[in-house]
Amino acid sequence: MMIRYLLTSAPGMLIKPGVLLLCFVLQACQWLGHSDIPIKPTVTLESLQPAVLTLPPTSGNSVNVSEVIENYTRLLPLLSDPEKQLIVLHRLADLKLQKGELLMADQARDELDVAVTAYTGLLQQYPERAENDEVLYQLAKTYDLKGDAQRYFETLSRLVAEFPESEYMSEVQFRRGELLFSWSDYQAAEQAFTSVISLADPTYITNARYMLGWSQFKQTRYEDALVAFTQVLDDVFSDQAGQEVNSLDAVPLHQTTLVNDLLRVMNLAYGYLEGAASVATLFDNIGAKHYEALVYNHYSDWLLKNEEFTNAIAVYKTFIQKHPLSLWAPRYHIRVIDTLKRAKFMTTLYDEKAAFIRLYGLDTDFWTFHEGNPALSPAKNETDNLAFTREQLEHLLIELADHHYIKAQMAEQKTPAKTKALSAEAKENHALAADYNRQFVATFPVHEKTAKRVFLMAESEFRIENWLAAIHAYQQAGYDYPDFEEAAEAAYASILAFDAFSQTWQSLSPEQQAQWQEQQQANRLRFVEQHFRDARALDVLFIALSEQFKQQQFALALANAQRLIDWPLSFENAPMASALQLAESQLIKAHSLYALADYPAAELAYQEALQLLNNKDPRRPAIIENLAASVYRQAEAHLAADNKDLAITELLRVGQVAPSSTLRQNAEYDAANYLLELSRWPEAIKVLSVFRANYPQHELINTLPAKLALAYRETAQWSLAAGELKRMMALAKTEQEKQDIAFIVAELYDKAGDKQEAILSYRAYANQYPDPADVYMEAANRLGELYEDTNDPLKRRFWLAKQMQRVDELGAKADDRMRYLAARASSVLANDAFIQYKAIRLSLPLDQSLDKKTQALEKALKAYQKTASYGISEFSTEAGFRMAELYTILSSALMESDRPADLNELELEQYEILLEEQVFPFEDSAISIHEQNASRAWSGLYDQWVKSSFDALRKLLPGRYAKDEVPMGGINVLE
Amino acid sequence: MFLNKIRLTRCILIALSLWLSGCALKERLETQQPEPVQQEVSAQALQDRKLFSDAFAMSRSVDASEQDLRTAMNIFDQLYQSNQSYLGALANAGDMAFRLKDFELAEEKYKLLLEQALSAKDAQTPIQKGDTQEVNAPVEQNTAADGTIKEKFAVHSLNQLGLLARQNGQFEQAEAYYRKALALAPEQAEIVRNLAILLDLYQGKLAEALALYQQYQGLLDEEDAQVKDWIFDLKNRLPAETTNE
Repeated sequence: MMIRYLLTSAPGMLIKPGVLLLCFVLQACQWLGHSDIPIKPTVTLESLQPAVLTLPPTSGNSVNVSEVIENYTRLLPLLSDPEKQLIVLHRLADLKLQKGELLMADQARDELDVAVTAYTGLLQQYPERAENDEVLYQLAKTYDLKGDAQRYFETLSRLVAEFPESEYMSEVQFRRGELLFSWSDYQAAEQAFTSVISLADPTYITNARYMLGWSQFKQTRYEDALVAFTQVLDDVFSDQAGQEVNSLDAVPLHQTTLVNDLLRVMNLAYGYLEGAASVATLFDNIGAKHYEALVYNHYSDWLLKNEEFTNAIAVYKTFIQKHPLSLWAPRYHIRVIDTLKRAKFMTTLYDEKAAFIRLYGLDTDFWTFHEGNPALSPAKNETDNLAFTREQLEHLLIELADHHYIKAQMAEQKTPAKTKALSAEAKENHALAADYNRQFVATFPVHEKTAKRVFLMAESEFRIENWLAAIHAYQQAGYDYPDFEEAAEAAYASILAFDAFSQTWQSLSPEQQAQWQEQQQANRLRFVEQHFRDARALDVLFIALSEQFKQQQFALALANAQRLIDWPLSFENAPMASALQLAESQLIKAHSLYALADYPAAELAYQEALQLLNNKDPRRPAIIENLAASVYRQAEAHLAADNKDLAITELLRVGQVAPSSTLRQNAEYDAANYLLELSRWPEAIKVLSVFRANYPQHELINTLPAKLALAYRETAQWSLAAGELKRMMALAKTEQEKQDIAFIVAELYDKAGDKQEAILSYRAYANQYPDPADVYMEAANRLGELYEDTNDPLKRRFWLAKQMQRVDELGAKADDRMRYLAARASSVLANDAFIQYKAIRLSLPLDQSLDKKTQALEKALKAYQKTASYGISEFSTEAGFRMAELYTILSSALMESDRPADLNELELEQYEILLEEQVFPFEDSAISIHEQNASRAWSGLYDQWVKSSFDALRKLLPGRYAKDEVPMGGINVLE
Repeated sequence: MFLNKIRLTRCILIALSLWLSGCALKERLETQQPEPVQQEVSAQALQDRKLFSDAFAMSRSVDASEQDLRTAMNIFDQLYQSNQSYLGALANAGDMAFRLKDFELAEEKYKLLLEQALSAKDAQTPIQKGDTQEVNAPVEQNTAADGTIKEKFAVHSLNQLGLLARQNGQFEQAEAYYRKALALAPEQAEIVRNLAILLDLYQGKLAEALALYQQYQGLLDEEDAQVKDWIFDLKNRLPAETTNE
């Protein structure tokens, strides 16, 4: 603290070392005591002195004063005019004074004495001279130089008294004031300075006010002093009116010390008054000043220098309170913060920072007033207050955001890991962190740290489950800042946030859910689009396509599944999806194709999926079913186009492609049906046989016999057909059905040439079902024929008799076919009788053998009559022929019979004649019957038996029947 | 010797022709005889007549074997195929089939013969009685009017067709043939006899048969003793009023 005096160098004006020491002690106390009460400086009033008086030099120049004096001294004797001599003398005295001033006092003492003598002489010589005020002035000055303060003061006072209108009055009074002040006569000094001020000489007025202030200060009239000082400031900053002044930068150098000192004294004055409040009171009283900030600032700085932190802060706050919209307010606010930091008053530090944001953040009155916003304020390196504020916002917003973010994280760590819910503390801090970050982003939309802030904001919103806000912020960070290093991270986080968000959708309406899901999907796909190089792009794509599939958006799912599969082709060094993802995507592709009815493609896709899927995957059977269905659907398409051949090919392919599928059964069953429809019998049989072997438990298994039976019949595989019909019979529900099938079975075995089975089947049928008669007759007929074929004549005859018996029962109800069969059966039995009869030889004793043969004859005749009775010409003609033959045979037999051995020649001759007589009627009967038979030709019937009768008649009655036609003779003419 | 040589030649020819397809044979025959020239026709005709004559002789020989009949039929067939106007060859081919008891073939040939004979019959004069050639008679130049010989072929075929129909039990058909033959040749005795037997035995038209038997006897130069018995028998069997002559 150097106080320099230019005009006065009175001892005791220096602050004593002891005072300084006291100050330090006080500071220590304050520092230790944390007192909020401003401590008044205990510097004694006496010790305080004005710092500086920058009065302009009264006269003088830089020429060598000694030379000038010499010149004047030489000139003086030359002057005759006393007036001129006086002027020269006066001038000479001034020069000498000047010289004396220039020389140090001791050296100049003699010179000054010369000047005193000269001036005193002038005054005595010319007491009434109007210019004597000047002489007095010079004399006073000389005394001053001589250090004779008393005479100096007296001279000055004489001048005031004698020349109240003197042009030197301002200075003289000022000097008087100084002297009085230095003599601690502050009241008189005040009057002197007041006089100066009243004269309003610009050269002195400011200093006079300054000293007035001091004088009042010294009288402990602090309020007055402060007012006086502000008047000084009014003067100093008069040319800066209209702008806020906070520094001395614009103050001329010569005033700097003065202003500094003045401000220092003001500071002291506040201290004696009520500290910061008195500053406010001051300006309340005198009205607002544009240099208020300077005053406050200076005061606070001074307090800070004295480490009176609380007071300093109070000063800042007072200013801020008074001038919230001042450009300096933010700066002072920061000072408050800095001060708190410096004083380590951490309790309120945070509040002040928060308050800063609140007061000077975006959209506050501050910015509204200054018609701008932080982002648009001047660039960083401009030392503008707005720029300053902006810078503060820049780092304070980050600081506060991070502060809360860290607090939130710490709070989270404090909560038990098991608890999912955030503590209130964590929530609150995340909310605040989000708000600060949001404010940063809003304030600095194009700042280099904006993206990071957005990201952090998203993180906080996420933590407090503000899902939409989190998602939006993550998306912003992830996509809106191309150079943001963590863009992919943020974008990915948006996906996670969506996932978390989605957990809350259960209560939403399906429409709303769908809308959200759509957005969620869009978000995923956006990630895949924009951050495709991110290692998680494939995972996201996979989730997206899975979701699309789940939402049955098949076309989209298909496209994205393909995209995932083709991923390695999408850009250089693109990775391949994991085996699991590939397999699942392939599967989704297949399902989608199926859903989109592209069955051929679905088939291929299913096959690829199966190759990719783990062998133990539990879904394999279902997928194989789908594969089968793909093929099956292709078949259906062919059917719809009425192309059964192609449909069959596809249906049979189901089993080849998906052998283990259950659909295969239906497909093969269908294929068999279509094969049957198309009469592709061998293939149908093959398919149906395999079907039966493979699926014995199939629900439609019982429909197979009929189909197979048909196919076997169509391919003339009768036995196999019969086998199927037996199955059908077992399955038959009605007796009628069983009966029908039973007959068909027999027929089929018969057709197949399986005689044993045919006999068994026909016999079973015939024994069980006498009706309907026509079918019974056919069965019995075939039994007869089959027994004939198998050389079982007895059984044959049993069934021949059965046929006759049945037709006889029916009587007129029998139709032609039945009668034919009966007639044929009957003819066989008649022929048996014929043969038996024919075999009987007439031997001795003739009466016995003849009797036997006659009985046989009658039996045979009856049998043939029975045959003929059925009215079937074919058998009637035979019967006719045979009956005639019976008589012919009897006749021959008689003629060939053994002759009795004991007859003599004559007797034998008589016996022969007798025999011939006996024979004639038999021959006549034979002829008669043959003729009757032959006459059937007259009605056009000329079968073998009729012919045979004609032949017989040729022999028996040649005169009538051996009539030969003649052919024409040969023609020996060529043309 | 002579016949053997012919036989051998024809056998080779037949073998050759059998080896060739029917179509090829026909083609060959046609190309052999392109546009008929006067001198060539005569030469060919002579050759054909000679061949026909030889075959006819062979077929009517008393000791003609079944093989002979077949050979003859082949020759007749060849001849007819080479010239559709050789109806004599066709008639004899039918006779061969008839004698070989290949009745279906015979019927086929007779029907063809009948068709051919009737188609060209328009301007023909009635066939003369007793034109039937004797067995082994030499081949004669046909000096008679073309129409006459064609009617003869028709009557021949109708009789034969009648016999075949009767054998088959087609009595009404047989009667139709005979009656048609009689329309062409009312005094052809064989046909009268054959019709009579048909009506007698197979149609029970005894009275009508009786009349025909009697007509038959009248047509013969000398009465047939056997037929005379038949007439007697029939008269006995018929009621009195129907037997009046």
